[in-house]
Amino acid sequence: MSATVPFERTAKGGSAVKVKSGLPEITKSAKTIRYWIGTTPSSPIQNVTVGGVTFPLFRGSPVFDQDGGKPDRTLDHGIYADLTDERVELIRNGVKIRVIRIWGGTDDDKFETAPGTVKGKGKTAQMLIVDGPHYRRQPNDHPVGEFLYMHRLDAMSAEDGHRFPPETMEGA
Amino acid sequence: MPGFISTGSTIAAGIRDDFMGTYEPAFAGVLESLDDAMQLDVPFNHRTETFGMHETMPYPERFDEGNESIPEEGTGSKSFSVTTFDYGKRVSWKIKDREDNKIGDLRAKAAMLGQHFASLPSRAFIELITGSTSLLPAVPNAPDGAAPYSTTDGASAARFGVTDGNIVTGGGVSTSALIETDFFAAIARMGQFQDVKGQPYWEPSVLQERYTIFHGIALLKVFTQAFAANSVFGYRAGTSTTDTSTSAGVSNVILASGVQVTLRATSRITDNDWFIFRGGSPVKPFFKGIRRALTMEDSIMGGNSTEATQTTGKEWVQFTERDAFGVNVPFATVKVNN
Repeated sequence: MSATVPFERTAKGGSAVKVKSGLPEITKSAKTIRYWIGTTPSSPIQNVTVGGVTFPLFRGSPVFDQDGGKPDRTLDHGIYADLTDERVELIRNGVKIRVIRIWGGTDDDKFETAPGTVKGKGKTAQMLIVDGPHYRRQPNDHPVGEFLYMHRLDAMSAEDGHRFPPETMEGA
Repeated sequence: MPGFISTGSTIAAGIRDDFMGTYEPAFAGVLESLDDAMQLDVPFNHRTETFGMHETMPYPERFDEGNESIPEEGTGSKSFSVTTFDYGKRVSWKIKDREDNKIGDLRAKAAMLGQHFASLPSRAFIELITGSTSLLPAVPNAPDGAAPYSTTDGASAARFGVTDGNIVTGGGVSTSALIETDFFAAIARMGQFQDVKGQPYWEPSVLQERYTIFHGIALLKVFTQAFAANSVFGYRAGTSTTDTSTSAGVSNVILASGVQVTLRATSRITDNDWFIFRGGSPVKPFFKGIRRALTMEDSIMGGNSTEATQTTGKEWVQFTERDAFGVNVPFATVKVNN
């Protein structure tokens, strides 16, 4: 059985190797802010992805009534997303270059306001990128920002939170 | 004349039918193209079916015998409901038009609308992945409460335990180099997905798998370059991902990797987003349920005619089907958003 050498003795007279960590500073850009984002019920495209983030009409799982039309409980509008300033800028740039082209339907075919009851019946919609080589503007092209909302939660009043649909992104 | 088959151009004497099939789209292969993305014909026995699933069972951990008891841990479960909807179409014609029609049998032509029901799964599939609604009153969410493609789940936590969930922010589609970069980012993302216990969902065989990619038809050339060309444009990694036309072509990393990719170009995708599906996944991200298979009914004078046909001289054929379209937990798909 070999004798145990005390740790203090082995360390005596030695020099510790030290390294300065290369961790970068925590920048402001890494900070996230919580937003409430989503599509309005009038959007013919229910879930829109811009800047790598999906703006949904609702979250949760709808259960449709037995006639197959409306959900049998109220769903939550949109979704909460923690976004960096860079991501917000990416979304802004993405919204600028997207339109939804809508065909068909009539003014009477308004979409209902309750979440989960989007009525695309009679309407057809396509998402298009306006800075692509094939894009030609048509009268029935709508900026996607008309159908998206994005609100900083910390800047919202209780009244804002109860107003639906909320103010959209178009015109920002 | 809504609802009627117009025969104005087909009753002239001596008219030929050489090009009769011009307006008939081809549906061969439609269902095969969805192989990796949508499970077809899940039987439905009720108007609304509720599906349940247990979440991942716990994983073993070390415990010190004598000092600790065997660690115990539970797990959750999920359920979600999917409702069937009715799909149908009727076409009508006047008896005298059928009698005077010189090109083929009008009834047989009308019955061909039944073939168009083969388009239902692919049309619904595109609505599910693009978020548009027409066949469905609303695009259903996945069982975790979020849209099929989402950075977060319904509780606003990172979906599948990974930042940005099953959406990759793409670099664009202007060059094959960008697509190559995003492709590897997408399959790497899929490989990072975690189950609810924080363990990797997929075994480490991601690169040995096959994938199916759905993209817009307008991007056919650049996608073919990215996935089929032996050499692709070089680019200066780290400084720019823009093609450098002066640089020599380099070998195609995707081909070199040996991963199998099937491209599905479709005119139904009109923007620059593309969607990747892991082949052979035991659980497909989307499914089609069937409550009642395709059914044909008709009303023809002299045969199976209704009173309306006898009094109005209007014959018809109609097809109906009762289907459901749902979203399972989308572990096997990633969207590249550009």
